Formats: sequence, structure tokens, C-alpha cells
Amino acid sequence: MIEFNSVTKSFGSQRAIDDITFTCKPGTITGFLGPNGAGKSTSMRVLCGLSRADSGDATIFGRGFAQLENPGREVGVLLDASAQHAGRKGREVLAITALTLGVRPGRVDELLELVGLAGAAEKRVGNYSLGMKQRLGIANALLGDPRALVLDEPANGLDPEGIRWLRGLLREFADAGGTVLLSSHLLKEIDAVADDLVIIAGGKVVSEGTRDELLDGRGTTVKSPDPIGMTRAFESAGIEFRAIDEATWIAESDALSVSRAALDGGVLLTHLDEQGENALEDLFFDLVSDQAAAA
Amino acid sequence: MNAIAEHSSIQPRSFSRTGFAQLVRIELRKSIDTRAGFWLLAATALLTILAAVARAVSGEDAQHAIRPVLEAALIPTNVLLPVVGILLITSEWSQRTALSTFVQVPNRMRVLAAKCAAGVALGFGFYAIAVVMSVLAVAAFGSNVSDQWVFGTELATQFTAYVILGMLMGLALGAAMLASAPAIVTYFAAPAAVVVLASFNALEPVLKWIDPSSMAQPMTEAVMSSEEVAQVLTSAAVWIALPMVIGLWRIGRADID
Repeated sequence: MIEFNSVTKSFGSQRAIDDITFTCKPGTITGFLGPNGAGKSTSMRVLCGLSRADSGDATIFGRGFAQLENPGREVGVLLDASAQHAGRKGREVLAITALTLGVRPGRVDELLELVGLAGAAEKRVGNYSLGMKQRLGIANALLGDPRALVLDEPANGLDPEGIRWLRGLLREFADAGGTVLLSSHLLKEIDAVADDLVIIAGGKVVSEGTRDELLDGRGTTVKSPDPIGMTRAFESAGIEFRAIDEATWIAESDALSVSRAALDGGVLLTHLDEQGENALEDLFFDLVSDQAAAA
Repeated sequence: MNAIAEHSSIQPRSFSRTGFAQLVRIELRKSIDTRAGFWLLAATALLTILAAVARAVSGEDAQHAIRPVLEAALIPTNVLLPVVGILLITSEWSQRTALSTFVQVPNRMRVLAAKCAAGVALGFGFYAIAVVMSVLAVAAFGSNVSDQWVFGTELATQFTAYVILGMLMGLALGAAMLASAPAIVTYFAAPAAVVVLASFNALEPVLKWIDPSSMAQPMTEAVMSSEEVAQVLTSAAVWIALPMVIGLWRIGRADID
């Protein structure tokens, strides 16, 4: 359980985050989504006690980060995979963490194996690619066998295979009862894995809820090879719609109604989806541009 | 169960805080497990051995007694070891490892205290190496001068303070500046700067009270006068206590990025 309660933090006169409130529940992956500079990293640094909030507080399992006796055993944190000593070997980074957290040394090898770095353990981190640094950082976060994870842009630098691997790992962690807070500016990555979404823009939470709550009712994505017939079918069924391109529309109705309209109009459909591939992107840019307009 | 989750992860759990001695051991390990740290410590050890032997076999007979040999053997430690102390603190910022260090141990003052303890432990360790090498070198090569083995408690105290004050100055400058290059440059340039300023005659009487070199050469030359001891204390206030207070303040309130 991770909770943000009205957290506000300024740097000089610049307000980085403003009255951030949300909760990450056990057993779920919470996607923390926002454009660069929206305040995701600042929020996570406040949560982890690296930055002091001007007001409000953030807690992990009901306690502030500094109150956790051995935080690495409660919450695995990866804030920046590049923030490692270039002259230290991969295995040594984990060995230091194991000594600090008091976990048995054998876990270092288990984690190296788990993240696929067993073959590169004796290399210095300065010679790692960004993807390898992410894998090392994820191993470092998991080393203390925590029940929560806080990961800032962990998919950066991972190849498609690595992203799929990470997705599976986070799913398994959450399904075992773990709490995951995962930030990204990559919409597709969050869309594929998050149960809950928190969207942040300009330092404010602009939307939060389960993925389904946020994406349902944002229209149905429709594709058809017959633009004229489809347009006519929408009009005669009285369905509001807007074109995405010459063969794709967002219809302000559910899939069943659109399907019936297409059948009545004798039009072929090639795609029909109530949470279309564009729904999250659509929602995201709507919210972010609203926020920009309000600022 | 696999390596991801060895537990059922809802039940409340309790853990104990990492002990201070363990934090000191970890800082000692961090001082040697990087390429830079390893070579700095290896070079210091090697130069200590060379310096002890070189002083014992060359130069005038009077120089082949334990005091001058140990004085020579401690020069590498006095010059290089404080750089290890500086890097113990500044590398957390320059390499940005503070981001994970302070997430694992949120109490920053405990981390800083562990670093200072590790630095002082390194000082004693290298002091011991220098003493052993000096005794061996004098026994093997030293000539039979009258004060060959003369080394009173005053000198022993001064030599110890010489090593530890140097290390503390490195740690304090590292903490105040939180950046390797300026801290190292200040450590080496401060004595020279004071010498240059002292050539203005008006400044000279003041400067000798804040001269970091008063914590160096006079401490190993002979038993110090009480005025010299007072100068060590005032210089330590300026070059150790003051930067350490600045460092504590900066580290305590910094946003770690």
C-alpha cells in the first residue's frame, strides 16, 4: 500500500508537484503517467525520502519512508538506473545492497540469474548498456524481497524482449499480492500492464482510476474499408463519430450499436474495440492539453 | 516459490535496522571495490613501503632512526588517504549512488557518520602499515645512532593526530563541497594559498593560526610547543569543523537527484 496525501513540493518559486493525492493498492500495478517534467520523478523522490515535501505526506504501508526500519526489505526502489558507480562490478552493486539489507548472500546470484545478468556480473557497470543497467536496478530493487516496488521509467533502454519480460515480472509480483508504482511516459507500456492509472500533468493529478473506468465510455474504435458507407451508417443510426483517418473512426457509442449500424448499412467492419488502441493516448492528450490550457 | 517473491506478501513483517558497525564495514568495502578506490589504496600502501625503505637506506645516518623513517613512511598516507576520504563522500554525488544509498539507509547522518568512521579506520590501518614497515626498515637498514628507537608518547600522539586530522580534513571538505574535483583541489591548494597570502607581511600573524600545514610538518618534526598545539587546534576548527558543519547542513537538507 502506497499513499500520497496532498503532497506539494516547490523548487524555488517553481511548483513541481501540487496537492498530489492517490493510493496504490496491494495486488495491483499502478501506472503513473505523464509527460516529461510533469512531476513523476519528484513525487517518487518525496515518497522515498530523498526530497522533503513542503506540505502533505507520502506513506508506504502506513509509515513514512524514514520510519521504515529497513526500507529495502519493504519496498524495492529504482529511481534512475544510470545512477550507479561506473567503476563497480554488477555483482558488487548487489553484494553491497545485500550487506546493507541483511539478506543472505545467495540471493545475489539468484537475482542476477532472474534478470539475465549472470553472464555480465563481473563486468563494470560503466560498460553496461542502459538496458543492462535497468536489469541491474530491477535486481537491486527485488533483492530485499519487498512487498512493494517503486520504479521510475524502468522500461527505458530495454529492448522489446526485455519490456515483455519486465511486464511478466511485474504481473507476477502484483498477482502475489505486491504493490507496484510504475512511472512511464511510454503510453503503450503502461497500457499493457497497469491495472490502475494515475495521470499527472503540470504537477497535478488530472485523472485517476482503474484502467477500465478511465478508458470505458471514451468511444468505440471502428475500422472499415468503406468510408462512405460507414459514414452513412453512423448518420442513419444517429451515432456521433469523428474520423481518425480515412478508414478509422471513434464512435460515441458501444460496440453492439456500431455493429448493428454497420449491419443495417451493409458495411464491412475490420475492427471494433470499446477500449481502442488509441483510447489511452486519446485520454492522455485530452487531459494534458486541458491542463496546459488551464495553466 | 521463485526468486521474485519468496513470501506471501500481505502479512505485516518487522525488520531490524542495519547496525552501525555493519554500515562502517560497507563503507570500507565501498572505498576499495571500485577501480579508482582500489588503485588509490594500493598506491598508498606501496608508496608507504617504498618511503620507509628509502629513508632508512639513504641520506645521513641521523635520518635512519625510527622518527624520521616513520615521518617519511606516513607522507603517502597524509597526502593520498584524505583523497579516499573525499571520494567516500563525494562519489555518492558525482556517481549519483546517493540515490540508492539513502533509499537503503534513510538516516543520512548515520551514513555520514559511518563514512567518517570508515575513513578514520583506514587512517589507523595505514598508520599501522607505516609503523610495521618503519620498524622493519630501521631494524634491517638503520645505523646505530643514539636515538634510533626513541619515540615518546608525545610523538606517538602527534603522529596519530597527523594521520587522523588529514583524513578528517578530506572528509570535511568532501562533505562541504559534495563534488570530487573542488574538494581535492582545495585540499591540495589550501596550504599553498596560505603561503602565498602570508607573503603580505600584515597577514602573516593571522594566517599562521589558520594554516592547514600546521596540521602537517610540525607534528612529525619534534615534540610541539603549546603555541604550535594551539595553532593545530585553530586550523582544525577552520579546515575540519567549519566545513563539516557546512557539510552536515547541506547533506541533511539536500534534495537527492
